Amino acid sequence: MSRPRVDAEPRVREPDDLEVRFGDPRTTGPFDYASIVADDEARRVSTAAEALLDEWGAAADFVPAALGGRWVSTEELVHRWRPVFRRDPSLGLGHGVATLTAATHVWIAGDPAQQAAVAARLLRGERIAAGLDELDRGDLEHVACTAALDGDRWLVSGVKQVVDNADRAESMLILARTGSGSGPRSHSLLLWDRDAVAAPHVDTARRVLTGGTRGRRLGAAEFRELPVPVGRTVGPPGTGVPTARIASQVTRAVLPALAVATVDSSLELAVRYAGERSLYGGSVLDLPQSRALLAGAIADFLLADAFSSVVVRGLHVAPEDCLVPTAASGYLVPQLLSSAMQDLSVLFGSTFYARVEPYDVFEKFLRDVAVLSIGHDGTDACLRTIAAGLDGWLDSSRGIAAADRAWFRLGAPLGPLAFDRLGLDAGPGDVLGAALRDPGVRAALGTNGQHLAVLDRLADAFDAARDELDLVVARAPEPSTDTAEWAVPLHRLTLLLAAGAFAGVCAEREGDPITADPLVREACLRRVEDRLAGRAGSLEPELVERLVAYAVDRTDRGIRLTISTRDDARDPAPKEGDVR
Amino acid sequence: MSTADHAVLDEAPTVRAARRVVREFERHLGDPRDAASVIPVDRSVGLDERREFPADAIAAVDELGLQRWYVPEAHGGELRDFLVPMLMIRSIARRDLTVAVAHGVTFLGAVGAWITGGPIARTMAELVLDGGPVSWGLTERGRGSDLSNTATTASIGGHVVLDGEKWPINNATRGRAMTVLARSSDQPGPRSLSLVLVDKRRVDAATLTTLPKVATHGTRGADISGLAMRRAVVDPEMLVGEPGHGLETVLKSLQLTRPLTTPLSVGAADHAIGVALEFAVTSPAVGGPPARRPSTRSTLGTAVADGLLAEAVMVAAAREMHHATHEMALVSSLAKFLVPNTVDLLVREIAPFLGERSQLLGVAGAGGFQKVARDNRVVGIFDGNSMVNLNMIVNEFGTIARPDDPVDASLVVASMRHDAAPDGWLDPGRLRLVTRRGSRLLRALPGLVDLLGPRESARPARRIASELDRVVDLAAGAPRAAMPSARSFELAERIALCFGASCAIAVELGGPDAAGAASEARLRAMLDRIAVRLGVLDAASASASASLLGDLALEATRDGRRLSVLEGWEAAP
Amino acid sequence: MNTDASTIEAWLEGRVVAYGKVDIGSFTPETPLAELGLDSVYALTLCGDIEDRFDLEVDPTIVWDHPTIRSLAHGIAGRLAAAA
Repeated sequence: MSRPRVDAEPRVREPDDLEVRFGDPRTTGPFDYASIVADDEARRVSTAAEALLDEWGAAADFVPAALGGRWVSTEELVHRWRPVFRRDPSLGLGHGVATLTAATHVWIAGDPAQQAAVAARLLRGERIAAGLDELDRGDLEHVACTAALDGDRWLVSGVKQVVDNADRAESMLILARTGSGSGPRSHSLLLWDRDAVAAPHVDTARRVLTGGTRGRRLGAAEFRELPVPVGRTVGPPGTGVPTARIASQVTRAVLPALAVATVDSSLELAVRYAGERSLYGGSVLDLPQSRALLAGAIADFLLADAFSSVVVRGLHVAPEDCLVPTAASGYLVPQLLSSAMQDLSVLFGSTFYARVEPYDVFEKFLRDVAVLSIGHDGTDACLRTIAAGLDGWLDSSRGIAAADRAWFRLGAPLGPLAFDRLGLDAGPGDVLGAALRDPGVRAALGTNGQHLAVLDRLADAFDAARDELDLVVARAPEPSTDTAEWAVPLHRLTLLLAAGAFAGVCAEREGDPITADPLVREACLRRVEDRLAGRAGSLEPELVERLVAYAVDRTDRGIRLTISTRDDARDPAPKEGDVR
Repeated sequence: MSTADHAVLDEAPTVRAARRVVREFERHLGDPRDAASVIPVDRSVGLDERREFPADAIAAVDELGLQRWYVPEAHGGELRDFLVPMLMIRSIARRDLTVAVAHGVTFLGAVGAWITGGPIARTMAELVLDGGPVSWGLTERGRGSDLSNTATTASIGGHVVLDGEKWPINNATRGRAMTVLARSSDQPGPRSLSLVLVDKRRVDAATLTTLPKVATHGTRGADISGLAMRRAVVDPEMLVGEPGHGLETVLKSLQLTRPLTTPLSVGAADHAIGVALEFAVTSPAVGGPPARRPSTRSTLGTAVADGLLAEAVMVAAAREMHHATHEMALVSSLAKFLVPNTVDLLVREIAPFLGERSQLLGVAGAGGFQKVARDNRVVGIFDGNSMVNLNMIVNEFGTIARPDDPVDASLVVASMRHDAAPDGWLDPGRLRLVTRRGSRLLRALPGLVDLLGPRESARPARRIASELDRVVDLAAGAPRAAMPSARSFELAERIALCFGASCAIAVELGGPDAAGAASEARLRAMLDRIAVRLGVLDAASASASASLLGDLALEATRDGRRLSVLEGWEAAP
Repeated sequence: MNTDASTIEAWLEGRVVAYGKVDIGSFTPETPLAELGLDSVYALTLCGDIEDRFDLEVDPTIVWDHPTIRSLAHGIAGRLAAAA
C-alpha cells in the first residue's frame, strides 16, 4: 500500500485526492462514465473503483483519529468522498455511507472495548452493515425484529428487508426490540459479527433491487434465534432508538452534502450538452428557456451546497444545536437537488430519455438522486424530528441575536467531532435563522444590491414563520407532521434556515467570485422567496444570465461550481515533483 | 362554422356500444395482480428489468383488436369517437405503459393517411387492420425536435428513392412499416418535405437496416431503435399526401396524436395512485394504518386531484377533437403539456409517502411504482416535448389574446356530456396550423365559473379565472420572438393550468351527477390544487378539500372502486 | 376596400416594414419572405393581420405556398375573389 502509515503524529496526514486516483471520468479509464453506466445497467459497482478505495484505506475515514483512523473534520471527510459521489452514488452509499452510518452508533454509544474492536475491523478494510429500520415500519420505534435474553446472550429473530451489504458485511448493527413496552426505550442495538456465528441462524442470500442506485448490494437479512453476546450490546439496553436518533444527525448532515457532488457532475454535463447540441439553428443553450431552466437548477444547487456544508460544520462548531439543522438539511437539500435534476432532465429532453453517449450517465444520476431523497431516514422522518423539538427551538431561536460565524467559514479547520455533545434537544441556539438578521453578516454583504432587500424580506418571513409555528404549537401541543397545518410552515422554516446558511456563507467567502456577486446572491435568495410563495418560476433574465455565465465559464475552465470546494480543479493534474 | 353546428346527440346507441367496448376491454385485461391476467404487473416489472419487449401482452392486445379503433369507420375500422381508443389505451397504460406505447404508436404512424385521405388511406387501413405495427419516422440523430432540419431525402420521380436514418423511433425494428418524413426538394422552406409510407414487405430488404435498440430511462422493454434507408425504392403510390406537403401533414397529425398520448399519462397516474391507496389501506405502519393519518389523507387527496385533472383534460381534449377541430393546434399543445407534466408532479410528490417502496422492486409486491415513475417521463418527451408544446402555446399568444368571441359555456358543457357521442369522425379539412381565437374552452372559463353558481368550487374557480385574465393581458404584450423568453414560457404554463380548470369544470358539469356531492368534492380539490400551482392559493388552504377527496378515494379503494371524472360512464348499461 | 393584387402588395410591404426586420427600399416584391426576417412566428402574425384586414381566414401555409410578397398578394387576391 502506498498510503503513509499513521504514526504518532497527532494530525493524520491527508490522503491522496480521490479525484486524482479516479481520473477524469469523461476520458477512457477504469472508472470512467462509460464503465459506470455499464456497471449500473448490470447492477454492480466498479470493481476497479472498489479496489482503489480499498487501497486508499477508505474505511479509515469512518474511524475517529483518536482510534487510529482519519476522521477529524467531517467537512474534510465530505470533501474526500465527493469524488465518489461525482461518479457513482451506488459506490458511495454501499462502500461509504452504509459503514459510516453503522459505525457512528458505536462511536456514540459503544464502550471503549467495542470501539477499539470496531476500529480495528474497519482499519482492516471490513464493512459494518446497518440493520436498523424495517420496511413499512415508518419509524424506528415500531421496529419488529426482537431479541430475547437467553442467559448471557440475545437471541435475535426477525427480518431487515433492505440492508446495504447484507450478504458481505463482516459485521452488522441490529436494532431489535428488547423490551415489551411501546415507546422509544424498548429497543437495543446489537453488534453481530459474521465470523462468530452465521448459518443457520442468519440468511442474507436474498438480494433486493432498486430503481435508482442499481449497483448497490442491497439485501434482506433474516434472523432465526441468532445468538449475540450480551456484551455486544451497544449502549445500555433500551437505548437503541435514542442512540439511532443521535447518530442519524451525522448521516442527515453528511449524505445531502455528498449528494451535492452528484448534481455538480450533472450540471457540468448539462452545460456541455446545451452548448454542443444544436437546435433550431443555434445551440440548446441559445434558447432563453433552456438558460432559465439551467439557472434555476444552479440556484437550487448553490443553496443546497451552502446549506448542507454549513450543517456539516455545525456538527463540530455546536453539536448540541444540531438536531434541527441536520433534520432541516436532510429534509430540504434532497428536495432542492431533486428539483434541480428535474429541471436539467427537461433541458436534456429526449437525450436524457433515450440514453446517448457521452451524456448517458445523466440518466443514471437522475435516478440515483431520487433514491437519496427517499432513503429510510426520509423527508417525513426529518420533519417529525423538527416538529418534536419545535417548542424548545422556537424559544432558543428568539434568544439569539448574533450568529456564530464559525458555522459559515467553509474550509476553516475543525477539531474532532464531539459525539457525546450531540443530543436530542433543540439546543440553545439557532445560528441559521439568526444569520438572516445578524448585523455582522449584514455588514459583510455590502451596502448595495437588490439581494439586501430580498434578505430583509426573508428575515421578516422568518419572524412570521416563527409566529405561525407558535400558533400551531399552541393549537396542537402533540407534535405532528400529519397535517398540512404542520407540514407547510415547517417546510417554510427549512427554506428560511437554508437562506440564513446561504447568507452566512456569502458573508464569509472572501475571494470567491460566485458568492461575492450581488446578482448570484439575489438569484439564490429570490429562489427561496419563490419557493416560499409556492412557485419556482423563472428568475429575472439578468440573474439567469449571470448564473449561466458562471456555469459556462467554470465548465470551460474545468473548475467545479460548488462554492464549498477548496481545491477548485476539476481534473487536477499532479504537479511535477509533487511526490507523495 | 360554429360549435352549434355540432349539436350533441341524445344518448345514442353508439354511446352505449362504446361504453360496452371499453368495459369489455378492461374486463378482458383483468386484474394485473393476477399472474394469469393479460398484463400481470410482476411480469411487466421483470421484462422491464431485463429490457425485454412485452411480446405476449402485445399479442394479446392485438387479439382483442384494439388496432381496429385506430382506423376510421370510413376506411373500414371502428374509430368514431376518439375517446374510445383513448380509454382503451389508458386501460393498458395503467397496467404497463410500455405495452400501451408499443401498441398505440401505430395510431401515430397511421394518422397522417387519415388526414390526407386518398388511396393511401386504404393502404394504411389494410396494414393496420392486418395487425401490422406502423412506426412514426420523424426524428433523426442529433436534431431533436427540429423537423425542418430533416436530412433524410426522398427523391420523387418514377419511384421514390429514400436515403437516410430515422432514430430513435418507437417500433422501428419490429414495425412492419414506417411513415417517414423526408426532404423531397432542395429548395429551402416548409414545402420541401414529404411523407412516405415504407412497408418493409414492399421494399428491397437489402436497402433497409435496422439500428440497435436504444437504452431508455423508462419503458426499458420498448423497441426504441432506428431504421437506415440506403437508396430504398418505394412505389410513388406510397406517398402520404402530396409531395412537399409532408410538414403540413405532420403538424396536423400532431394535433391528433398529442391528445392520443394523454391516456398514457392518465393510465400511469391510475397506477401510481393505485399503489399509494393500496399501501394506505393495507400497510400496518406507524401509529396505525397510514390511511388513518391526516397527512395521508391530504397527500393522497392531492395526488388523486392531480390524477383527476389529467383525466379531465384527456376527456376534454378528446371531445374537442370532434367539436373544436379547428382549435386543436392550441388544444393539443395545452393537453400534451399539462397532462404528462401533472402526472410527473404527482409521481414525484407521492413517492416520499411510499418511502423505500417507491424504489424497490421484487420485494413485498413493490416494483410497479418505480417502473411507472420512469415510464411516464416518455410521455413528456416524445411527439413534442414540454418545451415544444409550451412554445406552440406562446406562438398562439396573439390569437388567445384577441378580442373576445363570446362563447356559450353551456354549449361547451353540452359537448362534454357523458351521454353524448360526437357526431361522427372529425373533418380533417378543419385542422389549421394556427387557431383564429385560441381555445373556446379557455374563453369559456368565466362563463363556466358562472355556471358553478353558489358551489364551493366557484371560489377557487374565480381566482383562477381572474388569474387567466391577468395572464392573457401579459401574453398580449409579450414580444414576438422566434426564441421566446423564459417569461413567455412561464405565461404559457399558467395558461395551460387555467385551461386545465376549464376542462375540469366542463367535464364535471357534463357528468351524470353534476350537482352531486362527489362531483363537487372532485372539482373543488382539482381547482384548489390548480390554484395552488398557480400561486393564487396557499397550500395549507387547499388541504381541506384534498383531505376530503383523500377520504373518498380511500373509501373507494376499500370498495374496489376508483374515483373518476367519468364516474358512471363505463358502468352505465 | 380595394382588393386588387397591387394594392394588397403595397399593404404587405407596409406590414413587412412594420415588423421592423428590414428597411423600406431594401427589398423587392420578389425577395423571398424568408430573407425579410419573416420567420415562422412572424408568419403567424402576418396571417392574423391578413385575417383582420381582409376578413379572410388563412393558415400559415398560405405563406408556404406563396413565399414572396408578389406571390402572396396574388394568393390573397385569388382567395378573396373565390370567397366573393
